[in-house]
Order: sequence, then structure tokens, then C-alpha cells
Amino acid sequence: MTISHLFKPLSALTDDELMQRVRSRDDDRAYGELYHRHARRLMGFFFRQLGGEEPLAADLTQDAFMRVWTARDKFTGTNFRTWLFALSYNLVKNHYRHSGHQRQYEAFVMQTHEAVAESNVIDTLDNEAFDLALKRLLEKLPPESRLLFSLRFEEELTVPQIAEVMAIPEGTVKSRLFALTQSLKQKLNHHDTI
Amino acid sequence: MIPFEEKLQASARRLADRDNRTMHVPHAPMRPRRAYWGWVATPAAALVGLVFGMSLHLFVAEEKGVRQICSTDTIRIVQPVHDTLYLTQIVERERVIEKPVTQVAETDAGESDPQPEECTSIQCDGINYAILASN
Repeated sequence: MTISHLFKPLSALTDDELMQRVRSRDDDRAYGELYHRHARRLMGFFFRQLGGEEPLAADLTQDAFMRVWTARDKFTGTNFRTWLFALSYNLVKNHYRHSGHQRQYEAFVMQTHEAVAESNVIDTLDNEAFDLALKRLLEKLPPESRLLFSLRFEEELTVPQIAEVMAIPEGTVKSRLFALTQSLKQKLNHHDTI
Repeated sequence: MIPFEEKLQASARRLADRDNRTMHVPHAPMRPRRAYWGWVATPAAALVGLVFGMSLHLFVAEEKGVRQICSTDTIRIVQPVHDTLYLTQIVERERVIEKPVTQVAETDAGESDPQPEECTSIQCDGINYAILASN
């Protein structure tokens, strides 16, 4: 860290620089800035993964940032956002495991699979309709696919970053993304021509 | 990125932003702090500051007194003096030497040179004049 960094306003620092401050100096203000930048978006991520439970999303957001604080020494300084999502991804997976969410979701998806396939009847050619159709489809996606979609299209992580977050090879990420996109495209085919 | 993916991404962002805007984000969690030298240094510095402040106050008070004296014409020093008062009580004990009766009788009977101390028992105002007489 150079001397000029010490005099820069926090808002002018990158996430990685802020995290370096948190790591090296237990800088509360830098931590607060990181929280301010990412908490809302992260809470939205949890909210969408956990079936729209806002209190649970708030708890997990705090939990994730608590882990950021306790594991600050493990931050390697490569990419804070990837690191944060890796922590958050593990939290979501743990939640699925402990709540039996996965099994419930799979059963639910099995029951409603045909209904989903038949739900592509929206012919309105505007963004609102596309959003609505996509939202309904996303609600029916299995958790792992929903996570993948979220990381790629909502949080806009790159393939290597997703591979790091999910701890799987890049090739696997690519093939899963391809399958997911094709599946969504098929179901949203009415809107693809817009 | 192919057009469908772009469209998908734009739609996903819109949906996510809509959700995110309505969230009531909680405060940042409380963070346990690591023990560090400041925990000891801060109270120590406070204590040193307190002691220094008190001594400075005393010093300034003294200085202030001296300056006040210099600026005035008449210096009136009122100094309460507390003397220790010893109350001495003189206890006088009258010393009376009485001549034994038998000796006096012998002297009267024919002793020519009686001893001076034997014949004096004169005391007045606490002074034994018999001693003076013997010397």
C-alpha cells in the first residue's frame, strides 16, 4: 500500500484496496464502505436464492459479512467480489443442506415441470412480459441452476470467477451455463425473436 | 455474447434491481476486535494525562499567586502561624530537712562545733538557702 492510498477518500478506493485495509489495519471505516457497496446486492442475491424470505436474506447477509471480517486474513487480494460470492455461495449451500430445501425443491419441480413447460404462453413483446416470464421460470429452477444463473446474469461474474466461487472447473461452468441458457431459450422462445 | 444472452442478462439485472431496491438492508454486524496494544496504551495515556493535568493545575495556581503579588503595591502576607503551645506546670515540692531530734539533743549537750548543714533548713521562695550557707 502506497502513501497516496492513505490519503485517498474511501469512496475512491477499489474493493480490493479497501479489503487490504481491513485485513492489515482492522479498518472499520473501510469495512463499512465495503458493506455499504455490497450489502444490498448481496441481500438481493440471498433473497432470490431462498425463495423470497427477506428476514432470512438479511440474516445471511450479516452472516456473510461477519465471515468477511473473521476470515479477513485469508483474503489473498485477488478479487473481493469473487471472494464474497464464494463465501455467500457456501452459505446458501449450507442453508439448503440444513433446511432440506433441496429435496423440497426437487419434489416441487417434479410436480410442476409440465406446468412450467406449458406456461410459455405469454405473447406480449415487451420487456415487462419477458421479465415476468423469466421470473416465473427462475422460480421453478433447481437451486444449483438458480445459483449459476444468479452468478452469471445477475451478479455478472465471469466464467473463471464462477468457477472459483463454485469450486468447479471452468469447463464445467461453461457446459452448465450452455445447458441452462438453451433450456431458458427454449422456454422463452416466444420472446427470443424480439 | 449472443443476443439472447444479452437479453437474458438485461432482464435478469432489471429483476434483481427491482428486488434489491425494496430490501431493508440491516446494519453491518458487530465485529469482535483483536487484542492490540491500544487497549493498554489508551488507559495508560489517560492516567498519565490526568496526573500531568493535576500537577500542571497546581503549578499554574502557584504561578498565579506570585504574579498577583508582583502587580500590587502593598504586600500583605497573612500567614496563619500555628505554634505549639506547651503548657508547663511547675510543680514545686518543698524540701524540708528535719533534724533528727536525737542529734539536736546531742548538740545542745556540749558539742562545740556543729556542722552547718545540720543547723540549716531555711527555705524561702523555693530556694534552699542552706546550700548557699554551706559553700
